[in-house]
Amino acid sequence: MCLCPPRLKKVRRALFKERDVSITLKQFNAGHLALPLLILAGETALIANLAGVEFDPTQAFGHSAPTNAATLAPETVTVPPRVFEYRPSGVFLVDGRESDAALRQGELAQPLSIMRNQVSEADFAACVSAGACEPADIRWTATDADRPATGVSHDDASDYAEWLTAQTGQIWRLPTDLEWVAAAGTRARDDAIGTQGDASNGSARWLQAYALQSEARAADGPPQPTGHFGANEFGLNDLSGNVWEWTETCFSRTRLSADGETLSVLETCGARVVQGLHRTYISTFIRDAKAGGCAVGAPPTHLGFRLVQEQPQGVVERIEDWLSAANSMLLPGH
Amino acid sequence: MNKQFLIFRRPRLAKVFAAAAITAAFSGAMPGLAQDLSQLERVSVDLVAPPFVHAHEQATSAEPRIVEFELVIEEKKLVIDDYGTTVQAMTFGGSVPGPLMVVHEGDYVELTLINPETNTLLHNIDFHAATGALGGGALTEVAPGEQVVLRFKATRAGVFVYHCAPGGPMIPWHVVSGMNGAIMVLPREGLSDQSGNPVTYDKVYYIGEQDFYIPKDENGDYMEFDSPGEGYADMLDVMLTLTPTHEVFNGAVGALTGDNALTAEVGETVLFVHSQANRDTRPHLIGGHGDLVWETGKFHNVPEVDLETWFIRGGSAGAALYTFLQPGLYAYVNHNLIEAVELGATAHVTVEGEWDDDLMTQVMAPTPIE
Repeated sequence: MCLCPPRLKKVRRALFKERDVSITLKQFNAGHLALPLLILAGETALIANLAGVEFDPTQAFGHSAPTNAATLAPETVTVPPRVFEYRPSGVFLVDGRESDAALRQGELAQPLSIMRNQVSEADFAACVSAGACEPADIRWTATDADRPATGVSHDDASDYAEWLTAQTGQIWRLPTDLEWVAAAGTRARDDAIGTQGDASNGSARWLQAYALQSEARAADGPPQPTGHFGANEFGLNDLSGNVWEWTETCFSRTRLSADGETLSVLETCGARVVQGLHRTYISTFIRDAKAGGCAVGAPPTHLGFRLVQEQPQGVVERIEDWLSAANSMLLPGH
Repeated sequence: MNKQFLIFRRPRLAKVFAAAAITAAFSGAMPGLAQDLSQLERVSVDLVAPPFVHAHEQATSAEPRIVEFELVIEEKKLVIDDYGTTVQAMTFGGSVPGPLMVVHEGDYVELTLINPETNTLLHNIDFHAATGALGGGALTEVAPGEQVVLRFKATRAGVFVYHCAPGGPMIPWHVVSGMNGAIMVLPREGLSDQSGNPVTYDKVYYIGEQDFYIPKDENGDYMEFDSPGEGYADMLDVMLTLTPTHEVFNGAVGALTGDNALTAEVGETVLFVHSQANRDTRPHLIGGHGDLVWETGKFHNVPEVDLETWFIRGGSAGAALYTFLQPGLYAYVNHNLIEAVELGATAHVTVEGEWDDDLMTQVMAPTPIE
């Protein structure tokens, strides 16, 4: 796992991509300086620190451009609200020693609408043709088969979600780690290493982790046609096959005292949780997590993704949310 | 492409047969110079595929003997990375690199080289450890369906490359198609440290590093061929860039990682033999060292001590001895890290044992900055 710089470039791109919408915003909210300020700030590190408030005009305006909703909207399945065993993502230190996170009860409170299949090469190619996505790094021979898009980074997946949202007028985004585990059901793999290690010899845990990751390398080989790895109990295909999936959840490190009290939690969004045969953390711009890429370990074979569809809010609420977030970041004295 | 190759190949064949005729004349005169070897002990050794090495003595009290090996040349398609990229490999014994042979200084190496008729090309073998006849290359050229026996005296101690060298542009092509390996000629008294004291190892790992030059088609996909000859012209274009598409250990990206990672225990002494028949490389053991390193690979030179990285010249083999002191995971890499990580030249070593806090300890775990 290695970390990367803030997503400055990406945010700036998002800002300039939707000029027509920007004009609408100015007219709608004449005299308000938030947008021009935001564009200027796009050139500075300030914008990158918008603490999760990525400017997304389509989210602000909802159904502004539902041009291709019927043809592009991916097939989804609905995962019912459920309670399940969940081991939080991230690295946990107990009394300074790396340990497995404690299992807790995870809850999916609302029904989750999630793509039945991983985004396919053809789906992704449409975004590339539209000029909204960079071509994926495909490093194996092309076939006619309908295969999942691979060789894509978190940034690419986000571009795709943004484009699909603009095209369909529906809100699409990557799942969180908890949502992914909820939807994966029996296909979710617990990433407990099991060897808590003794204080004087951390190597047992390293070796055990390496052995577990090496097992997951059984999934080597080119990406398989969509559906090859079968469906889980909710009807989602190809979970934990040889294509790992990006999530929106940031890497985090949690420090706990010996008796379990949380001492600190530090989130680093330059790396995100990637889910599949094993759970790992990869910098947002990486498209191919090669062996030894960031550490000595066995990386995901291929990187791909699927999206969840968020239920829309009212237009007015979303504009208000966005403006208030922008104001609080840019005009702290307000 | 095929036609080009055939036009190219015809005059080559004529030349080879001429060369074979000349060497035959020479070899006819040579037996008179040889010693009477009929009294020497003969041993026959079964070779094993890298990274492992056949059982052998380190120091020996035996008289010099004749050590018989057999290598069957196999032309076969090998997958060389996680993307299913293939090469029409040419191999000694079916593996890239070919197996490591071990003998002692003063022994005679007697190799039977077999080129089955299922192969398509002429092959031979050039031992850098041998003296004369282009390292044996001029005496070992075999067409598909032929076999040959070469004997040479191992007069110099060290690790040495062997490779196919069938003449002209065929030489680099065969070598970068995988046709190379190494032989270790041990001093009869075994290895010695910088002060001349004997040293021994608990195990040997043989790392053969290979540069591959795989052509791409107009879509940027790696091309796949049905025979070595079919890919020759396109591969040559990539070879002439001098920029490999793959730089791997043991024939493929990841061949010495995961389930195939090397293993050791704390306190164990490992001799890493590293060969690269074509291109320079610089091994480095991440988290460890080279306690004793014969960088040029020749054991009668004083080994260097405490090295971080050592240089293996293209066309040579070197040896590094290391005793593992800490448990955990080590990476053995070509420390051109682009070649290690992007092109594949990485092996892993998993080491079990007790952690030594004196050598290293984490004084404070990662903590938010105050």
